[in-house]
Amino acid sequence: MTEDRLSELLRAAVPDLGPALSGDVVLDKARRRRSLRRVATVSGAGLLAIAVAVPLALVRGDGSTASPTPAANAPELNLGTPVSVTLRPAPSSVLVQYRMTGGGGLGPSPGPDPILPSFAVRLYDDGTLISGLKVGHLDAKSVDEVKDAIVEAGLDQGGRDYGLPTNVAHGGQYVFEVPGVPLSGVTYGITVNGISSSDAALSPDQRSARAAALHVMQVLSSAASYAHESYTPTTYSRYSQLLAADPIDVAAYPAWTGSALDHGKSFGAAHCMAVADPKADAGFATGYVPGSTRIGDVAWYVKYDAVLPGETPCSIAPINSAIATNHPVTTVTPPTATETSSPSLVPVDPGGPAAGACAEPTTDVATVILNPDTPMPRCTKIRPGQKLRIVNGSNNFGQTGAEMTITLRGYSAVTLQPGEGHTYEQPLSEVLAPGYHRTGGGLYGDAELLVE
Amino acid sequence: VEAHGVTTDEDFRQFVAARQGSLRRAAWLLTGDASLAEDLVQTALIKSWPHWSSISEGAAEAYVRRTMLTTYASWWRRKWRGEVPGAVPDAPAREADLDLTASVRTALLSLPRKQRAAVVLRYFEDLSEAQTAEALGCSVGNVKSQTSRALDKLRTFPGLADVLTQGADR
Repeated sequence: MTEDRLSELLRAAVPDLGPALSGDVVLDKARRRRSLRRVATVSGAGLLAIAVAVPLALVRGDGSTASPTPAANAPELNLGTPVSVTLRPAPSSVLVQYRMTGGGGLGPSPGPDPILPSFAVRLYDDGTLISGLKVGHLDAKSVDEVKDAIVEAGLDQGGRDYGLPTNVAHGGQYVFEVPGVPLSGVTYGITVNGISSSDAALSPDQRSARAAALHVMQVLSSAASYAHESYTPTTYSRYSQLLAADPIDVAAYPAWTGSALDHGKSFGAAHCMAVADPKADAGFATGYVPGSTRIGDVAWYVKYDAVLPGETPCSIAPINSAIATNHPVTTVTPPTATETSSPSLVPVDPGGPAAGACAEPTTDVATVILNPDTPMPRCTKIRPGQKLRIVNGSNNFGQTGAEMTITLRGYSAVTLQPGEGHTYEQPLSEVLAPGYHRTGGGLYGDAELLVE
Repeated sequence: VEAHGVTTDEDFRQFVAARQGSLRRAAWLLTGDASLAEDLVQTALIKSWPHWSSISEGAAEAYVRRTMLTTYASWWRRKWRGEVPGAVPDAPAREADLDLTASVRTALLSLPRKQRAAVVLRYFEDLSEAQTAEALGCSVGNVKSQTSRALDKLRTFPGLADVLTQGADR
């Protein structure tokens, strides 16, 4: 009797779940997944299965973009946007797929493919090369394998032959992995044929290679920011909304004039997240990412938590003074709030960080954005003397947003409207005991703070 | 990877059309969220499709369900899903206007994922203990204990206490 009643209860409790899934849509996605998995498995033993699949836009030689042909029967996927990101939770490996079509405004190819032979990805953790990195593309993939993969994946749309067999556009995919290190908190560095982003006199093909590096970097940074997402229509939809709502305003970055960014309107639909994390110049005469630091053969790099979406479009987190002086940083004046001077430190919260890794901002003020679903960063390590800034990002990703009242223990509650931020003037280490704490009051879950 | 012909694809489409509703409802009970439920089912279907031609006739649903549960478990190994167990009330009280959906959702989300899955399979999918054990990849005894603990916990929630006053073994 009891079980019958429980069964009835469970059945009655399920709400209307909306339109039915389309078998055609699922089939289409299954085919794409299979294609990507095939590629991934080629890239060498030891690599994890695909954690991320990032179909990139087609970057034409003239810098314009062409999106992949929208898949039939997949109306919920906005493939008109240049980038789609698919991720599994907490990946420790990433598959990136990219392709370029030649032709357009490019000059003749100088010979061998200018992109594929030296395409490499390296991961840095705060400037230090992470050891044990595996780069599948170079280690395990021949040009022919890449070609086959492109054809299998249905991505061959013709294009100029740059050393690849005729009618196969530039393209490739690689998998990289750092065992045990979630990729949401690391820095990605890319170089293409050794071309740096500051080279003022690039040939058309070099421009093309550079554009590819930039483009891949954009996707990587975005992917890192979305590491909590899963391969879902919701993600696709949300990301599409994000891209559509927050295009990069190239004109706002005069230092990029003459660069691939203005050369390529291809970045017009990219998101602020794609903006690099500028560092103090350590070797570049000029750079269209002001303050880029050369580390070995890395052209430049991006930290995923370097950008603050949700404020004025394309504002950038003040990671260091170089950014503040070179970028049009939008300053959000924090609302006034009475800080609590605790006679004793607030004890740590029970438990520990759920996040696989904690971001370690080096700025005086660490910023946490309470985005829909998941804060960014999910976990932040707070150094002694470091302040905390909280941003209500509930209006990001195309969401309407809602008011939040943040209740960080030891501080007065702060009410933030969507997009609004607040900086706690008293450093956290003066209020919170060393250890694990959580922000409170977020709509979707608290951010984690690891106070040193 | 198996080759997929028109027949296989059509069979897959028909399966999706016929069973997606039930799978999504079960997924909702597991996740408590319509979007996540859709994602979970879709992911399970996508994972299952490459093996479709090798799945024996009549076993497709069990295969997809098992894949769904495996996926569900892997998603929730990380805690960051906004999945916050509902607080157990101090004094369970019956309210005439109890929001059934919210109540059941809260109660289910308070359960550890394996207990939740056991309840959904046993009492929503109407699987036997043996079938549930197979789907969860555990023993029948484990299913019994998981279910028993789950029901004990559910009894502490308003609106469910009356339903679950008796033992649930079957």
